[in-house]
Amino acid sequence: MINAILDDTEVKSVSFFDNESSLNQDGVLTCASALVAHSPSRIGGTQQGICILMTRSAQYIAAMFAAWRAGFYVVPLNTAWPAQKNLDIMNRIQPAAVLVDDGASFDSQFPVLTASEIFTAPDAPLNEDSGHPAGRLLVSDIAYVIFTSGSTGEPKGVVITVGAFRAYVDWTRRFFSAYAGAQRLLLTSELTFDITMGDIAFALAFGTDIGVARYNTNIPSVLAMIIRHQIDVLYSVPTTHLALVAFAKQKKGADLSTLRLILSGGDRFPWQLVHDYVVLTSGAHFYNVYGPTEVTINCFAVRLDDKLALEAQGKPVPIGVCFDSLDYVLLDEDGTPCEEGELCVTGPQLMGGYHCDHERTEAAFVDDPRLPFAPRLLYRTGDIGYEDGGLMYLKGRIDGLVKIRGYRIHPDEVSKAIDTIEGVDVSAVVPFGSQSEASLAAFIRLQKGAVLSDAQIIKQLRENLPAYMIPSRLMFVDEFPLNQSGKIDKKSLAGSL
Amino acid sequence: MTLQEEVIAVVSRVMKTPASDLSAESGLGSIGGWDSINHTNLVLELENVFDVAFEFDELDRITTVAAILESLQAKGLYR
Repeated sequence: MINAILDDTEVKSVSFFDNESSLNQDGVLTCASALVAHSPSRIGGTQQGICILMTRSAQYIAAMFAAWRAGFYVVPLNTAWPAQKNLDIMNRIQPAAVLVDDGASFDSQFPVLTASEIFTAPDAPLNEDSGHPAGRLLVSDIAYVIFTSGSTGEPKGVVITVGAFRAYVDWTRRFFSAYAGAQRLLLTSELTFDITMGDIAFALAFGTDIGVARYNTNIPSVLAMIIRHQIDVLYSVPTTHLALVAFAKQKKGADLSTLRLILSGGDRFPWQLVHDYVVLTSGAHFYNVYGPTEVTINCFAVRLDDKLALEAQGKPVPIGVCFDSLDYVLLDEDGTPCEEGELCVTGPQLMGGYHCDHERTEAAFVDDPRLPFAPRLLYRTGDIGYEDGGLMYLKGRIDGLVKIRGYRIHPDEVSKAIDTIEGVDVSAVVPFGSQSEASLAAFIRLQKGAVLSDAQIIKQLRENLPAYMIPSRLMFVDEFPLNQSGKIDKKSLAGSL
Repeated sequence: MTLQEEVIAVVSRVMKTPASDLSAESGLGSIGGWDSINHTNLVLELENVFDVAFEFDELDRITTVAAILESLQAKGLYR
C-alpha cells in the first residue's frame, strides 16, 4: 500500500459538492500535482504539513484529499477565526504551503497557493494511470493536526497519525456495514472539528459522496441542501440537529425522508431529539457517537432509535459501547479501576501527542494499572463515566471544561481574555443553561473609576476570541462571593443566574 | 411603515434587538442575537407575518434584511 489513507478502491468514487459547485477525484489529482510541483512532502525524511485556510466549500475537502494524495499532513484552519489565531497555528506548524481562497488578502511568511492555482488542470493532467503524485503515506505518518481549545489560552494541536485514522476508517467500515450503500453525506460541523474527519472516514469506508453545507449556521439552508441533494447520512453536533428538527417540524414541505443514518456527536442531547427524527424521517437510524479528538474522532457508539425503552426507565442518553478495536477502564482519583470514575481509553486510535507540547502530552496519558509489567498508555478523557446494562453513561467532567456548540472551552481562558481589557479588575466566567445548549456568563469587576459598557467589552473580546467563546451574558459586580479556600465561588455565581 | 421597516420590526422582535440597531446590512452572524437558532425562528416568523412561503432555493440567500426585503418584493409585496 503506497498511500495508507487513499488506496482503497472506494476512494475513486468519492466526489465533492457544495451549494454551488462540485468536483471529483480528477480535481483531487490536479490539486495534488500542483502541491507536489510546489514543494516536496518530505524534506530530509520529515513529513511536511499543508494548512488549509479557505471558506467552507467542496474545494476545501478536496484539498485535504489532495494533500494526503501528495503525502502531506493536513492542518485545517478557519477563515472565521481571528486572523491572529490562524497565524499563530501556521507559525507553529511551519507549513509547506497555505491554501487560500482566490483574492484572499493574506500576509504570510509561508508560501501561499490560491484555489485557482491548485485546481486549474496542468497542461499534461495527471490521472490514476500516470501514477500517484509522490503519494507515499505510511501508517506511521501524520494524517492531520486539529487544534482544540487549551486551558492556558494557547490552542492544543492534536496530532493524529495515519495509523490511528486508518483504524477509525476500518471501525467505520465494520460498524456501519448496514449503510454501505449510502450515496451522499452532508458536512455541517466546522471543518476544523474532527466530526468532519469522521464524515471523511465514512466516505473513505463506503465511497460516499461528500457534500459541504457552505452556510452551516443557516439551518434553513442546511435543510434545503438535504432535500436538494437527497442526503442520506447526516453527522452533526446536537445544536445543529436540534435547530434542524425545530425548523423542519414547522416549515411546510420540509422532507427529511431521504435520511437513513443520523449521527450525533460532540455533546449531550435530550431523548426528544431521537423521537423527533423518528417522526420526521421514514425510520432513519439514529446513533450517538462519543470520543475526544485525542482518540481520533470517536471511541464509543450506540444506536438509540431502537433503545427508547431506556428513556421510559428514566435513564439518560448513553454513549454506548466501546469500539471493538479499543479498550477502556474507569479510574478513581488514585488511579485504581472502579465502577464510577474517569473514563480512560487505549488502543490504536490514541493521538501521537500534542503538537510541540511534551508537558501536556504527558499529562493527558496515564499508565494502564492493569498492565504493570509493560508500558501501555491510557488517554484520560476527563469525563466521569459509569456502566449500566452494558452501556456507558457520562456524568460530567472532572475539570472545568465545558462544551458550547460543540466547542471545548475552558471558561478560565475566556476570563483571562476579559482580564486583559483595560479597566477590568478581575472577572469570572461560568457556563449556564442546559447541557445541550450551554452559554457562558461573565461576571466582571471593573477597576475603580473605570467606565466600560457591555458593547465595549464584547468588541474587544471579538478581536481576540472566536465567536463561540464570547459570553452571551455580562454582569458587573462590586464583589465576588468567595469559597472556603478564598477563591471566587463559581458555583454560587452559576447559581445566581 | 415601509416594507423594510416592517421587516426590521420582525427581526427586532425575534432577535430581541432594538430596531435602531438594525439596518439593511444586518444579517446572520452580524449582530449578537442573530444566531443559527434565531435565524430559523425568523424565517418561520416572516412566513407567518407576511403570509408567504420561502422556496427552498431561496433559503441560502435570505440571511440579511436586504435579501429578505428583495425576496418579499419578488413575491409581490410592496408597501
